[in-house]
Amino acid sequence: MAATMTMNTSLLDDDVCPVCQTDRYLNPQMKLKVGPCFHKMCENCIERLFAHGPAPCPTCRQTLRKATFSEQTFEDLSVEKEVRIRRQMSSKFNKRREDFKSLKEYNDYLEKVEDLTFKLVNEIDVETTKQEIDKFAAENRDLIRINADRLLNESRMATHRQEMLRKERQQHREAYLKELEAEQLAKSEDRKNLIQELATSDKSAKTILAARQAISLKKTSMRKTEVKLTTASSAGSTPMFSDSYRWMQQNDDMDRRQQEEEDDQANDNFDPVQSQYMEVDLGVGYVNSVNNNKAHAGGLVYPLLTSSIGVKDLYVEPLGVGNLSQMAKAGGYRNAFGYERAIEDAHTALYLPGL
Amino acid sequence: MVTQSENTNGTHVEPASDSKAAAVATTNGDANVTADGAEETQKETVPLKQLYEQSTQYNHWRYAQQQLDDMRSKVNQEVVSSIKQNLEHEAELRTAQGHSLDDLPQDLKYLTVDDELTLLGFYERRIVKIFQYWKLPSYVMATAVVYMKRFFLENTVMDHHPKDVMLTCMFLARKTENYLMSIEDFSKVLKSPAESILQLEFLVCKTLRFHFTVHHPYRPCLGFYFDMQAVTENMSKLQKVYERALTLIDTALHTDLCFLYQPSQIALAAMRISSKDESYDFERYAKYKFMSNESAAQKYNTQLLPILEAIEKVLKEDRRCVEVDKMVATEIDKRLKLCKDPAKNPDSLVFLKRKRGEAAGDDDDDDDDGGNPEKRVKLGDSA
Repeated sequence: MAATMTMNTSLLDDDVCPVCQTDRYLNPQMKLKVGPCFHKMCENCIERLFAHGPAPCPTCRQTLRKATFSEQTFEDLSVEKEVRIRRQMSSKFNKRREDFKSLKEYNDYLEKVEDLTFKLVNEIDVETTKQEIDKFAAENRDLIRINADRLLNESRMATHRQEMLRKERQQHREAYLKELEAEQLAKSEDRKNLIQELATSDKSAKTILAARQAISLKKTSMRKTEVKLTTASSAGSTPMFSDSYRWMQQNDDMDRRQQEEEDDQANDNFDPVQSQYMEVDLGVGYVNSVNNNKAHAGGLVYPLLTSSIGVKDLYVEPLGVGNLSQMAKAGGYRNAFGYERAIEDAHTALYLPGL
Repeated sequence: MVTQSENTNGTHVEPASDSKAAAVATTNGDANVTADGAEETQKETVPLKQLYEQSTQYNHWRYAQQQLDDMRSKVNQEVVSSIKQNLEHEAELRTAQGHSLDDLPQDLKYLTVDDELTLLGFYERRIVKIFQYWKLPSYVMATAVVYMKRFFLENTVMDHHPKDVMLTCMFLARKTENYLMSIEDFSKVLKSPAESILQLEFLVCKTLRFHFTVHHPYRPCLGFYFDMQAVTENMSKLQKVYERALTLIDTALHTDLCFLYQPSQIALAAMRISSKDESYDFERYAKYKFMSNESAAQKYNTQLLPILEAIEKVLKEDRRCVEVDKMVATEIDKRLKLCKDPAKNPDSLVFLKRKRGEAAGDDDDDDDDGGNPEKRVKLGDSA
């Protein structure tokens, strides 16, 4: 899946092949590929150099083949290298949690894998690491194969499931369309018949219409129950898939209903200072904490005097200062909060002597 | 806005804690009383300190009048003697090198502590005027004034001219009280170069010991205004009393009251004085609030009332409550210019000598940032 990713082409405008120095002006379709030694080359150069078999890389002199060059998926070559190494490792080291008796063993295994990967990526003891890996691969060959098969199976199941889901959805849609069509047809039929009857029979128009209406109501209700039954029956056959579908549908309905409710509520009583906030302990500042009339301010704890002094809910505010309560409300505070603070400040330290 | 403070100041008097809600609690410095599970039920009952008692203003910036006088005179004398020394030194160097002694001031009348206080009072009132123009709440202006007062407890006007310090204090106060004005706008409005303001900024912060939170009597005054409503019928009179009290607090700002007494006490004293002037019955409130029973009345009369009366006395008699005449201030300023320390003057020989000594590496310059802009520590962007 990652191979389908391509790089952002705007970054490639000033690319130059390090071997032949062509840039995008000379060769608009130039594509740089990366070899196992992580040196880039344009496709023409690769063709030219490796057409007659393996040859040394012009930058580092490692022997390379044409086949070992691949497209670059990551801008950063070190990432590219690491990804390649990890891909190789994961094809060999594919043990799962279930293969281990305890979590610790699993974690140890993972750590060992990481160690080896790290060594390979940073080119520490490459030879010994490769030997270790090979040894591991040889020892656990069977288990590796089993796990690989398991992985394959799982991916197959996943795609299959997706297919089924898609089919199911399509079926539903078709059924719905069909129903719509049938309804339309029935309606036009009805109308035709109605006109016929009005024209030909000798009962009064009113009675005919009334009778018609009764019949049509019955018909629609019957049809609805019919539809329900059919969907229920079809759902019963493949429970796994339509469950998820219905769950999704239900969720959609629920969301829609919730949205409507919220809209209604919003229009009814929009109150920015909802009363529920008034009792919340803000935790900072001179809030009259619920426990033991203590208050907290930035980690300091101190007793509140206003508990013994008694603060009223309403005071006359001094003129000429603007409306303090309105300003306080905008911040979400009760105006009593401001009174409390002022009165608290007025009475603290009143009896402290000077030096 | 509350600063974390050290509760250990060895010199201050342990206050009589008034907290009626003495609860089982652990204050900031207390050991793990609840460490042992077995001793859970026998916790030590430690009365909680009130919030103001945990503030830096209470713990570090309270003095007795005598202490204030001593501090100021000490700093003054030190500076005067150092200037004298430097002048003599300068004279020596000049005679040694054959320069003239003509422009060296002789028989200087150095500034006394009184002169300094007068000059400072003049500049403090300048602060008030400028802040009136800005129409910010009064506590911002008060913070700037208090910063300046605290700064000049440990420095003299001969070290740093109060004009520069004034601007720096105003700039700093606007920052700490949340009415920030960028340095570009500030220097434009006040027609003064940004460099000089910023150069002093760190020094001012350091002298303030980074205690930026200042408690003022304005909020306690408002609190009393609310509280008095319980015993008032004539609301308009109470309104007048409150407004008058606010102006009294503004005058109290220029005295040393902020160091001597607590803001709530100053506020109550202001309300008391202004209710006398407006013929409002303060005693009724006092009886209702503080003298509800015998012991409370006793407490009020012995502890609180003397403080209120002392504050009233200061407000009546301290000469700093009165505007400083501009002529007087300019005269002192002239004398100040003559008292300049030659070591700070880049043209003087003493300065050059000291610089040479520095370059050689043996002379470690003092903390003063006056002459060396490179030494100024940049606290991020001084916006």
